[in-house]
Amino acid sequence: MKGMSTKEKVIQSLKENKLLQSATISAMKQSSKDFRIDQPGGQINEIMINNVKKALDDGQTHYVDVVGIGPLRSSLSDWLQKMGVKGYSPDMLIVNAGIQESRFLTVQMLGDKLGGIALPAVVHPGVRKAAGTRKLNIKTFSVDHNNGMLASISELEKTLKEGNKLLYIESPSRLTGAMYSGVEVQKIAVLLNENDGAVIWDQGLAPWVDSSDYVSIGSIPGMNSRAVLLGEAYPGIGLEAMTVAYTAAKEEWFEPMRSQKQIMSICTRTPSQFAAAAGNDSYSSRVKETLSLLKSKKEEASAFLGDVFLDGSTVNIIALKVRNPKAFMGRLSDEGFMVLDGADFGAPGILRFSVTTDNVFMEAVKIMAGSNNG
Amino acid sequence: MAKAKAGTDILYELIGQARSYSDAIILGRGDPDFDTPVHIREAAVEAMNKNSNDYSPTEGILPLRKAIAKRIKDINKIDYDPETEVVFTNGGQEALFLMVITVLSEGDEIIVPEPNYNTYNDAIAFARGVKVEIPTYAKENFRVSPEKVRAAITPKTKALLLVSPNNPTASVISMEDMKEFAKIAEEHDLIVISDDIYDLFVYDEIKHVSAAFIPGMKKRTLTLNALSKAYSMTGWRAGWIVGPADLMARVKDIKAAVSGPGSIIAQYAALAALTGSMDEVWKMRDTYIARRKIVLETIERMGLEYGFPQGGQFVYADITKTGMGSVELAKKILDEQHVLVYPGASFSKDLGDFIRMTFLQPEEKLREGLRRMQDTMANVIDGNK
Repeated sequence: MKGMSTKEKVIQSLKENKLLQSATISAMKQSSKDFRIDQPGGQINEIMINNVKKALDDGQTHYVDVVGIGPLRSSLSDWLQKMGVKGYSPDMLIVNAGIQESRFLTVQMLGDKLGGIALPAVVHPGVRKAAGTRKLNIKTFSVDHNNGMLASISELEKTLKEGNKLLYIESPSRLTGAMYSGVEVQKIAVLLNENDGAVIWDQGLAPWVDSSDYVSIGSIPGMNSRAVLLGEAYPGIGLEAMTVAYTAAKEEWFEPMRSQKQIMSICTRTPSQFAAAAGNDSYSSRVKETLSLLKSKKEEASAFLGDVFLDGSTVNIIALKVRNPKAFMGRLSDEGFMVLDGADFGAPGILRFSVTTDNVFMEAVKIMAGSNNG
Repeated sequence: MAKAKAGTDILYELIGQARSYSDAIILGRGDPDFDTPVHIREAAVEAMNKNSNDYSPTEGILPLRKAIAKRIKDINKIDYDPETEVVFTNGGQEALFLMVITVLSEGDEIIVPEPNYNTYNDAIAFARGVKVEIPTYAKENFRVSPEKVRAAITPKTKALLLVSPNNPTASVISMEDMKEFAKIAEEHDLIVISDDIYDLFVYDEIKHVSAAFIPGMKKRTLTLNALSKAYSMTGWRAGWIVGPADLMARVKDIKAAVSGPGSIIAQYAALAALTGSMDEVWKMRDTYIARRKIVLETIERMGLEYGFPQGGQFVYADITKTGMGSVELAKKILDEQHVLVYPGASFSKDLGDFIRMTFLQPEEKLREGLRRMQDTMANVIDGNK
């Protein structure tokens, strides 16, 4: 970088940072033909709006606790309990300004504390972006392309035995929706105990698993001392617009993240928190309905898509394995449709698109079915 | 990473203690006592009804960025392209953090006037940068000396931080000094990080000048501002960074990595603030001027010296005559009187024999808090004679 100005050097250095240059995926659709979002959309309901209105009228326009307002932390803890995750009390929860903040705080603060982090070869690009903001010791472990892009238990064991203390795991996978079974989660817990390891566990897509089979690592007794959980708060009911997420961790790890959040943003914005706090009331019933609708759409789509369809446990996303992803995406793009390139996750040849309940979704499916046959 | 940053932790502890008292009077935190104006709150509710599925790019929706650019043009007389030179952030705090970690890499030096807002230390530590302190003194009204800045430059110096009005000292950088800083930045090819968050709160005919206003500076300056202080929107986390397009593209990368786009609802609220009437802002400002007088009268009665607050929403008073350290004194005032002031040690390790008092309480409460404080201060000062 000889002969460059200070500014040019800064710019060049950041441009060359491959992790930081990983793709950005929006939480909100750009148009009705945008099928790239992680979570199903929804509409903020009257109860949530009124809760925010009341809070604002009551003067809740000032700084609040950096870790989040009490009622929201309590309701998130209750919600986790309903998911079978019992070891995370409200005072172990931080309310984040969106899932990317959760990723950033966990990856950077725990990665720094535990001497580095091991990331799966296929992971949401937001994780790599977070890892790229400051130098970290990063290792990569391989994933099984025949098992929903999840790492095998033996691969996780190998990674831990190589001295990596901190793993990042998505279950369900943000690319394919595949999840670890209850038996596998138990095995992961055993490995963590045997190797004094820790895990950042992204369970953000768990609400969209269409069965009671979902098992969070946080539900295994004792894992609250080794597992940090993160995810969006009450996805699918319109809160994406408010950008609210959570991180749940034991005190020793909670503290550096709390401190860093104070440094970065002081607190998560109050209207968002009051909206989310009211989201818990109707969440189960609303999500049940959405889940059922998405499931039937996904089944309808799979009938069209045939063998390119990769099986995943969540009803909100579909992953396809295609021969010529560029051509595929090109044909979709010609019609204005946007889907995610699995290459952005580390899985070239895979495409991901979100399931929605509108007619536009089936239009996209038919084009994809035609593209695959053509 | 170095454990934060005793400064921030001290404050967090004191805030926690203050919250435990039902009769606490907070004269420490920079959180305006006014509520957010009604039209802004209404805009947020309307956005929840109508815009909750709107898309926002990382840098924020274009109408908001246009409003930010217009605000800067109107107030600071600087042109920024809203398409490429504006990024909306989660408050001024996030803006500060993003600017520092965008610019600094490990080992880079940044020149920082001391005392300074403690979060800058934390952000520099996160980036593994090196803070080079330029001390400022009450007897000089906390003027940041260009000569001292020049003398502090080394081959590792990457950036210069300019905060005006300064937090906690409330000093304002003059046009003359700003031009000198511009020369220094140009000569040594430094990036300037400029914090303008109190730019609407300058008093007594003093004029605020933004660093990027000086000819030639825009291309090397990142500037933050926010709606927290001016519009009483601390809970909304609504701020921004502006700068040259090439550098802002990288700020956007970092923003996407740290938190992604801000809430669309907060963005519509921010838009309403920036496009609506500023009557409430000017009313608040006039109120602060009146309250500032009350605080200064009390400080003078206590016999303390202080840097005359040319801007901001606080006064920084010298407590050496108490014979106590600032943390010890702040704790004593809180324990005995349930009044929270911020200790200078949280803003400076070596220049910390001060307390920062805000004027962000209604007059009656402010007077009560100051009265209580005077009781403890009188005992302490008498005991130290």
